[in-house]
Amino acid sequence: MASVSVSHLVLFIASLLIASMVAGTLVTGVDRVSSSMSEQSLETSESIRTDIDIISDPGSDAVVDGGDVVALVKNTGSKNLAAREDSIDVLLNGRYVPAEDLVVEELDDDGWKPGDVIRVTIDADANSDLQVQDSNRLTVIVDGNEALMRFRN
Amino acid sequence: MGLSVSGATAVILVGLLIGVGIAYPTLAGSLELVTDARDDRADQMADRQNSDIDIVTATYDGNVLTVEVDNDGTITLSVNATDVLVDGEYETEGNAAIDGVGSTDLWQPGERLEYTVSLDNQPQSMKVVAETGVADRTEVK
Repeated sequence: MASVSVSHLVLFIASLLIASMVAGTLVTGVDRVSSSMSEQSLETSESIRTDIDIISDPGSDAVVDGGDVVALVKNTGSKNLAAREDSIDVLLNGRYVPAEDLVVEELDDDGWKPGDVIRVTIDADANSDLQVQDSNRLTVIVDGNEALMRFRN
Repeated sequence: MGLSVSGATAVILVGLLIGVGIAYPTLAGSLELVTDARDDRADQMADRQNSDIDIVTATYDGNVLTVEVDNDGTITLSVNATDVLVDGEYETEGNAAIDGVGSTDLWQPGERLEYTVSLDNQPQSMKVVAETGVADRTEVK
């Protein structure tokens, strides 16, 4: 009889141990998934709040200035954006413009707030990959949000 | 055997409850963040749809460029967030007044914005961009 009780006790402890391991793995997994979801939702909400527009006047001579392409980009979203060369992606005629060929200037001193405008100058002369053609497409991407301007030289 | 099964089930149930307890606040918070952002976006889109500006006159008298712009939309716009481009160049020097009042930032529907800026040369074109991104462009006379 004693051996039956001992074996029952061993089985009981083993079952509790296995159940604890299963529950522990479950809790750890849920914790990981929920923290990833939390980060992802923050990024998604920031991306949804971001909106930009290129407000340059393609009908004027100010867009192509010598060997430079100048775009005025307005923050039409509801969050402050970072106006830095490394936080803005620019494509000229589908070619990526590296940060060293870009100059980003804030036209209002206190950051790139909603409603504010920045000037993005692309030094197309300095990079042989970038060429201003007769018909051009300029794409500016901030936080996954794109704005496109088409202009003639 | 019976006790082992119920003990193990209880432990897993407790684990499940803890898991739900961890996941629920995070999921609810995440959902709220995204829903709030979507609501803001929808409000912005509605504002953009409801905004409309129209350049009535743009005249240069040899020294000063004067532009009159009507708010033809149905929402109040911000004067400070309105941008003026003269010949494609961003203009920061000018003065803006709403129906003769220069101190206000509010540009209500039906009101006229008068923008004046001193320029040395005759400009060809100008563009006004409202805070929502809605714009109008005209040739300067």
